[in-house]
Amino acid sequence: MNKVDILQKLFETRSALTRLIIHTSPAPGDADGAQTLTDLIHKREQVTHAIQDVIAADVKATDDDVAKAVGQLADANKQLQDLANTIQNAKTGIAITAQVLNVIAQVVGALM
Amino acid sequence: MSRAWLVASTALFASGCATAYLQATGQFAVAAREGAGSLASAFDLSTQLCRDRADLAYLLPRLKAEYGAEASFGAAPLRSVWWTDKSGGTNSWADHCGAIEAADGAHRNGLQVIIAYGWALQSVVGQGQFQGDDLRSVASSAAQLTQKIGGGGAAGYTGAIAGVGTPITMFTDFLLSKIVANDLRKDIGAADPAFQKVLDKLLAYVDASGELQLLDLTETLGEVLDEIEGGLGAKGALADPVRGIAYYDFAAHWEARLRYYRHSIDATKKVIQDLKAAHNALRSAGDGDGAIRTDDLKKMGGFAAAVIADAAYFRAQIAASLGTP
Repeated sequence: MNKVDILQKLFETRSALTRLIIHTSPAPGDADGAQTLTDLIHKREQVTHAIQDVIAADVKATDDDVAKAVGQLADANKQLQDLANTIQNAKTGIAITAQVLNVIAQVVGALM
Repeated sequence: MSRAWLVASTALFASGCATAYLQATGQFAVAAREGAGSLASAFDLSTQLCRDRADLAYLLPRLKAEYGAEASFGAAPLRSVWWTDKSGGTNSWADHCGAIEAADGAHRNGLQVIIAYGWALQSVVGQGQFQGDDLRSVASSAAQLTQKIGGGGAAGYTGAIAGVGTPITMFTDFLLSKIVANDLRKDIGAADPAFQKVLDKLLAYVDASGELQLLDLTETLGEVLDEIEGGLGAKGALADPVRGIAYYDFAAHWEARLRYYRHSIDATKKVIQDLKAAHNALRSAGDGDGAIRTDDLKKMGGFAAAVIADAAYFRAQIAASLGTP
């Protein structure tokens, strides 16, 4: 397990978010839905920055740390990929992505 | 036969070495200069990759605007400030790509000392000796520059720069000493660990910065294309031909860039690996005080020829299209 494994999981996260963003459109006049979609797009931006941090980080974490993080990311990605494309699910997607970013913050902290 | 060649080969014969070893060293010297010289532009690729990643990362969240969501080209951060914007993370793209640019520069210094080594060996082959002073300014400035970059604010890449800095300094120390034909076998053996380490660090950098960034660029492009396709129309609906062709041109342009990066990274790795193998064979041919191992000299010749051919390919096909794939 190394940085590439973590990156692959982050790519999966971002790809799942992209699919959710592409196929979810708020109804006309649904300000709350539009805001949810904007938040989801912002979360995808944060995943891109997390990818940037992982690429720049030195590898100092132990294999166990990395393997644990990869496992957590895989679970979160599975939940994201199973979400149907609705505005309500976009809110769930935002919450799951927040967990992903939390895992990455800990891993990058260990890698730097 | 020139007088200098006669002096050098006589000195080698006197120490029990064969003229073949001297000729092989000359062949290696050319390969080292050609190979390392051709790769100078390759150690700008990570900076280019970073800028391309930054461009697509700007585009990705802004494409949903085409079908009516809130994120759009008018949303913050605007393009004018986006390069230095830190709202999505702790580093801006300017910070990130600036650090990679510094790391690229540090690794180009590694190439500089390999080229200097080629000149040193050429001097021994041609004139029987190399005075360390000849390359003092080139070698020591490369080492100093690397230490200076490593001590700067290249966040996240400081480790990579420091990693290449130590073997560069070791190799520079070697180049500052006198090398004479009589001790050529021993000197090449002594140079080998530092030579291999400098090239190992260059290879590791290409693997880390080049491969990982190319992976990210490929993934991001896939998502950008998915976004655009989503905006061109629902499944089964005919797209406006003008928009369809614009999409095709965009996709073809970026796919060509990905192929260019792939070729560049592969060619760079091959030159480095062949240079390592060539020096290893040259060292092995002259190991110990016994007879020269001719099989190793033949191997060296093969690797050196491969480096020279790869370097010519790199200059003609890859460096020539730098930035304009």
